[in-house]
Parts: sequence; C-alpha cells; structure tokens
Amino acid sequence: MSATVQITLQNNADELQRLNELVAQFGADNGFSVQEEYAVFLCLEELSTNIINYAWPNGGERAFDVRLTIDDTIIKLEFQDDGIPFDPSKYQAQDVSKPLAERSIGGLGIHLVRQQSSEMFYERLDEKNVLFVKIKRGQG
Amino acid sequence: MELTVETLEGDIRCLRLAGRMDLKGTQSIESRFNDETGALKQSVVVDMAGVSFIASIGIRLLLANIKQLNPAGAKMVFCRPQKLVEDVLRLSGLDAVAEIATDEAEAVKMLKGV
Repeated sequence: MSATVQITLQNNADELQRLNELVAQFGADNGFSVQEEYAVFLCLEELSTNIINYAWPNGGERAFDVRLTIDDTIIKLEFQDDGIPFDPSKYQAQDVSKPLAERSIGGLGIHLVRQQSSEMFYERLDEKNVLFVKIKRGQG
Repeated sequence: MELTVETLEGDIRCLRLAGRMDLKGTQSIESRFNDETGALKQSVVVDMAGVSFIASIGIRLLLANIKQLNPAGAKMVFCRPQKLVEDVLRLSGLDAVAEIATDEAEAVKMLKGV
C-alpha cells in the first residue's frame, strides 16, 4: 500500500490552514492513527512555519512544495523551497533541561520534530533546500 | 481557540482552553492569555482538556507566562491534558517548571502546595 499527496503553498501563515485540511483528509483516507496524525501535523506545522518565516529574508511572494508519501511502515514528508540554504537537521535544538530563565526562544520546534520523527535528511539541490522527514508507523 | 475564565472553590482562578494551539489558534488567544496569567502575577489553573493539538508556538506562550509567574512566587498548574498534548508538554520540558494534574481537585491541591 502506498499513497502520495502534494501541495504548493505560498509564504503566508494563512496557508497552513489549507495544508491542515488536505492532510486531515489524506490521513482519514489512509488510516492514520491518532498518534501518527499528531506527529504529521506537528512536523508539517513546525517545518512549514520555519520556511515561511526564514527562507526568504527579503520577503516577496514566494512558494514552496510539500509532499507526503505513506506506505505500510513509513510516513515520509518532503519539503522543497528555493530560499536561503538552511539545514534543520544540523540546527541546534533547544536544551529543554535548562533552567527556565536560561531557555532561549528558538529551537523548540526543531526539538519537537526530532522527537516525533525517526530520520531527517537534508540536501541542497539545484539552489533548493530539500528536506525529508520520516515518521515510523505503528508506534505507541 | 476558545478561552474562558472561571473562579473555582477557594477563590482559585481557572482558565479553560479549547481548540488547536497551532500558529493560528495560539495567535487568537495570545493577548488575552497574557492578560489573564502572566500579567496578573497570580497562581492559575490552566484546564487543557479541550486542547487537541499543541505546537511549539503554543508551548512558547505557556512558557513565557510561566516565566512571569514563577519569579513572583506564583504558579501555573496544567489540568487534564489529552495524552498526546501531555507528551508534548513533557517533551518540551514544561513539566520541570509547572505541575500537571489529572483532575481539577489535584490541580487545586498542587496550586495550594498541599
């Protein structure tokens, strides 16, 4: 069993709503468990928000692609944008064990994505950031 | 998102949240949540039972207000989070700076420190 869905989003936070609706339908069609759906929503929200907020420092109307592929064992998320090079798999995640006053604001989203996924793979290809995130199925 | 404020027995303030604490949901309650928690410098129970999803933006809102309360000797206690939401609260380290209660009675006890 395998299925794929793809969407092109503008660099605008309102687009996340459209992404969520598409993914909710895709999840229902393909029998996502509650936990799988949560992990997918979380990874999509954090990584799409990063792209929208940071990929194009000069702003303007830009677009990026998100693709979901599912088979019996893995849910794969793929992000492609032509923004400035950024490798989330190397980004320093927030140390959540630090005392309250010393915690920084950034890095929490990446920390949560790492907790919810089994693998992250990044490459810079043809002037594009290409990021794959894998979520193992059937956990919990 | 929805945010309602109640007063529990013993004059304890309780905020009930409902909806998805994603970017849009969190932005919709952010200023009221700040006004009703951190700005008051008073201990508060935050009932999470109606929250079905939380992302880092939601965690940051909670954390920013805990940072206001704790130095003032006040606490935030979370009440009845759904399992997957509770997992994210703990993965974010919020359980180190605020307690998580399984029901309202326990939340009130934690808040009073008994």
